[in-house]
Amino acid sequence: MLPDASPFTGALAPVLGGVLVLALSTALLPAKLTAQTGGVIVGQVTNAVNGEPVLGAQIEVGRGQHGAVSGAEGRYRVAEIRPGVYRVAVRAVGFKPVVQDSVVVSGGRATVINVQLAPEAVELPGLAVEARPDRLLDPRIAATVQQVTAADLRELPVTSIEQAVQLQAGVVEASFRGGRAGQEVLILDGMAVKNQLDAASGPAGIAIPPIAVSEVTLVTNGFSAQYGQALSGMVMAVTRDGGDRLEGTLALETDRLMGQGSDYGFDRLVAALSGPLFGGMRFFAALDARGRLDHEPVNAPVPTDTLDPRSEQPWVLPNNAGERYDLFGKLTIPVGSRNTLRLQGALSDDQRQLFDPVVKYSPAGSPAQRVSGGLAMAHFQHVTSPARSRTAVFDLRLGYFDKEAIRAPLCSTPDFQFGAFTFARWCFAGEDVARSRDTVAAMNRVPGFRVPTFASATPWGVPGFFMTDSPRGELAWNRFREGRARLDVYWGPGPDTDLRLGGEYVTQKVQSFTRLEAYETVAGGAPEPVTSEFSPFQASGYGEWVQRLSDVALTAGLRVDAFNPRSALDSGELKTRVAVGPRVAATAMIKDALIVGSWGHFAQPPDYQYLTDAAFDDTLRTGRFRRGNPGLGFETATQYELQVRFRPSPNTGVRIGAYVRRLDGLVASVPLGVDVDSAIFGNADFGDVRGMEFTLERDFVRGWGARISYVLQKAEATATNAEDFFRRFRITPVGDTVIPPTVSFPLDYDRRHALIVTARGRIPERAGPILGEFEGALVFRWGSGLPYTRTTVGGDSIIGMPNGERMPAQYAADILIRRPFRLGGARLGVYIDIRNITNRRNVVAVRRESGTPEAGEPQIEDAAQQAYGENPDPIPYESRRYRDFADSDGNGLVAGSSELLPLYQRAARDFLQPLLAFGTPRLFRLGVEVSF
Amino acid sequence: MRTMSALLPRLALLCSLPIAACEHTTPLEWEPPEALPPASGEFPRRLTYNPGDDRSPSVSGGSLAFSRFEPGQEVSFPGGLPVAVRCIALMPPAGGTITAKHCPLPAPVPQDSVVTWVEPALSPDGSQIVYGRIKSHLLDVRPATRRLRVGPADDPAQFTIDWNAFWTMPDGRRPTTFIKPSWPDPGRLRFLAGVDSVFKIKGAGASRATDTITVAYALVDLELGTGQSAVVPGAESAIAYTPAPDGGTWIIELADSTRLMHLAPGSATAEEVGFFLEPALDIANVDGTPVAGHRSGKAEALDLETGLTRTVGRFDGPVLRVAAVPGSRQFVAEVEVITVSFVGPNGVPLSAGSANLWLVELP
Repeated sequence: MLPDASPFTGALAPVLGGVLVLALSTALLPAKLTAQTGGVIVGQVTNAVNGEPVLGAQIEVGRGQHGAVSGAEGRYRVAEIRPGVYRVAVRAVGFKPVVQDSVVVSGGRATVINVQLAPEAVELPGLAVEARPDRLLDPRIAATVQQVTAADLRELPVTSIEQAVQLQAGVVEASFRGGRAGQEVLILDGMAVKNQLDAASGPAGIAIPPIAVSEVTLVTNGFSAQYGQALSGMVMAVTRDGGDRLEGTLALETDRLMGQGSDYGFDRLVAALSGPLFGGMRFFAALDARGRLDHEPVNAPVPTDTLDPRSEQPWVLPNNAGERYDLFGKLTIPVGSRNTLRLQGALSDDQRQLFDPVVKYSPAGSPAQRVSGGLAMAHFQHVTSPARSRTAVFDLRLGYFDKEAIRAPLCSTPDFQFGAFTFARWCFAGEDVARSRDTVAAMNRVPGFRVPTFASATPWGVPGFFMTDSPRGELAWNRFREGRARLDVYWGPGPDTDLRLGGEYVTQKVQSFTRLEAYETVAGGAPEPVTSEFSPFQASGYGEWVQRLSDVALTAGLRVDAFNPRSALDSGELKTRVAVGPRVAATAMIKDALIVGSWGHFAQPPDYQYLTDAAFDDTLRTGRFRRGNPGLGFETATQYELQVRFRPSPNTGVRIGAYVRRLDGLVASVPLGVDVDSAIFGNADFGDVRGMEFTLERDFVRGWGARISYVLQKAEATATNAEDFFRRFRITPVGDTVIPPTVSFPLDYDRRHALIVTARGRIPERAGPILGEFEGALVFRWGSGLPYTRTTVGGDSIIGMPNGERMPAQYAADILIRRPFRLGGARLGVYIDIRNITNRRNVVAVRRESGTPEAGEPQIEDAAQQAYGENPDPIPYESRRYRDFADSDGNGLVAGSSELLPLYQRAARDFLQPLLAFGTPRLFRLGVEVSF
Repeated sequence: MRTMSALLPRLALLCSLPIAACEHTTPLEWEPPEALPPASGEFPRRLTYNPGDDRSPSVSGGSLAFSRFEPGQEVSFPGGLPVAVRCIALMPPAGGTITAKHCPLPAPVPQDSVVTWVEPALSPDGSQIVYGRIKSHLLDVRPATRRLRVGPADDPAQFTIDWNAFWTMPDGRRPTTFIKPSWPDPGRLRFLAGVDSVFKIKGAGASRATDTITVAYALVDLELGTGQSAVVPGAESAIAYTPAPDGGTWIIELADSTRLMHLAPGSATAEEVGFFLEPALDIANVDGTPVAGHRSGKAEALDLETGLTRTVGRFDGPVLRVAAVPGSRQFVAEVEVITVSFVGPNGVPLSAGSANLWLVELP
């Protein structure tokens, strides 16, 4: 019997259904633990003459959709304001109105505007004083919030939101605070967007152009009860609304002109346009197009064999090009004075070749992948009249998300038009068969797939190592769609109290198809095609409450999640799984420090790929079959955190926190019987993550700012990912069952120490026409080595504990230098973006038997001897495999150990080059941008 | 200073424009070595060094086409000996690197049969190729099926004509094979019809073994448009043939394989025009001169005016097939390296081994 997903699942599942979840969502007390999508403006209205508080003053934000009325002591609070720049007007009977322009509102943070109103009879002007919000010491922010602003995205050496998020403390590549990949969720404008099919191993399917984002917030603890589908973190992105005047940006970025060694074939075009339409309607549109001739440049050493073509062209890998297009559009439509309707959509298309050393010399045989996604959202917001002392905000969101991915060989080599841009949708072999999930037709050879043979068109000619086509012959396709409806209600009964209630219903559809060795018939021995189609649903409800009492803030919340895979099981309806997630936090100012304590229980449904036998990243490739399990339940986490925040000086902030997170019920491969190559997915993995985070930040004042983050972390569990077969297990005394282990070991992403330094500076204009106004940003990252498992030379036995060894530490420094100009009415910027400026050769993978990236001479010799032993036949003169430099006796035959074997040795050395074991080399990018 | 401030942005914008016009560095690409020239300039010139087996040369459409087996192309059956899979290879008639090689797709599992491609010949324009597809079952020395197929020269598997070579001639004979196909014109094929002769080998070592040889016995024309076949009148017992300079045909008949017979255009009667010193295994018209291949390893040219013959090539094994190179005084010889000799049906001495191709030039 398989372990249950969580203690809540088993106990409550029979009682709580999806309907009950929604009912609970309206009955339970709300709580707010973290940053919300919206921001807050708070302050006090006083009489400019006598300093007395002004009661009943009307505060109007923007076009009047948001507002409040000052209450006792003249205090007011306007909540749930979308991040952006606003105009704030304050009016009271008998007083002159005060208007403050360009008030910046950030998500989850308070902007303080204190207003002094002058009586009409007095000649004094009114005054609004905007106090800088102290996001560090704001007691309402219990969560560990790290924010990336639009300026950060523009000024830091990052290309995407993902890269910006990876600069935050606690993020190791795709792992958030030691969690597995896929344990995070993107909250886009208040609505979750997640590839629930294969988040752990597949791409998200949609990406928002960074230029369309006004801010990104990373939350890694006690996140709001408003959001689920995540265990480790939330990335909350808020997109830009169109402004009141026509604005546009066009930017080009490239590494052309950099010459060999620094030109990796990168081109990028970013364009954005926004402005008013009619009737108060505004629009925003953005395009981000990227082409790369080498999608993942590597800093691998140059081979020593001068006949190896890479010895002269060691930089750009072949058959690794790709292009990506991200398109975003948004309409903001005011409906009356209290309502706003936002319609937005995004399209992403990412197609790329997948470099594979096996087909390195056979471009036509290279596999490729395309991931496309579409997102449509409608957001209707109603805000009660600011004249009412108790503000309420209603948000109704409807969304549709569609993600489709295919991996297969291409029908023909891409026709590159400009750099890596083809401006065309690539044709994949067998795409029609896959999309129709035609398992009958797929029993035959799939058209477009060719039988792989040893390539003769290699420098070495010998029939070994390099193939004409991928031996995997993989045709994999999947599609994930969901429709989402969500209602959030905010009610502020007083300036110190927030209440939130809400619920969500998500209906989903999963389709997948996998066929391996598609060049061969199933009758001929190829694995049978596998397909799936089912329609799960998810439902959730939440409530949260925030109460501030002087310098103490209490938050409490409860979230209930449910999901049901429904038709994933042929035998009938499955029961609904339910998970309950209580979350509490308290903050208190003690002297000048803010102490934050939080506790929360989180749950997320498993990736749907583990519910069926067919998956995009199916383990059929390894020959180890993993059986899907429709009975999988929630994966859960419980986190405790204590944090101290203080300011040693007015411009410096320190945050020190320690956390413990217990992960449970994570999907893992559970042995099935005693066959070590057979397993079923189950909620069997558990582990602990313990960590400490230290952040020292200097605000950007007097021309520079910086942040230093250090993370000490230990992440251990019983398996690194769902495909990871338990590497330590026991067999029952009877000998008929393999029992999962209870031994935890370091996870693949267990980075013990991580240091991130970001710094920005600007040279003042007075420094002269050349140097003046130069902007610069530096990012330095250092991380201790990630673990790996050492094995014997044969690879069939591990030495020591799993992940008992560590790779070398990594570091890299990136800089971006920009020179802004004015050109007529336009703003012009020229910049250079340099990644890994020291050209550090980071080791990102090692061979398990040696602990080094390179294969040793014995391994190369063994591989050569084995290949020679399998194909020892002489190569005659007329053969395409014949290489005259190897025919030392000139008899028209390359034969024997003196002539043929050296070719195999060179081929083995070529094939075993550790290309992908090294990280990114130094990359230069020149950019020009024009804005108006 | 102010001038400098105004110039800088314009300079920056101007400098950025040519960037887009620059080409990127080309990703790692490797061009396969160019095709090698002929291995030597001398005659006879060895065209293939294949330790496997190269058979059935024909030169037309600007290429030498032949049937090739390379070591490693065997199919192994459980409990049986490996069976060679033959492919079609093309190379320049003068020699050098093979320009194309086409192989049959692997047989589906369960592998109880093997498919092999033999007897290729390009059409005069080089766009089409005719070849034989033989399918044999496990442990059966006789072909199960033999098809004559015509397909694109660059992808013979996509055949457009599939003709059953197991057929019945008007005289009642039932050929099971075709040999040395050629293209008298784009719409017609000519070949020798024959049978597979299965016999017990005697004297091939201590054990007796069963083998198959093909025996030709008539010259046949096949109309590609209609699929109609007909025996060439006067060539009902031909075992070798080649076009004659006058538009007729030179043939060798089974009755006396030393005699060169001439079948004039429109005639149904073959007349002797000369004779070779040894039985001819195959003949070719090399720039108007009949050349024959012999079991002794000689290639012999016959002077039709004087009736004299001369040896134009001498090899260590039988010259089983000869194919003229049009427009030259050269011919390709299929020379077998004997690994075993035995006595065939009716006491005919036979041999087995591997063959290579040689290019010979008449003096």
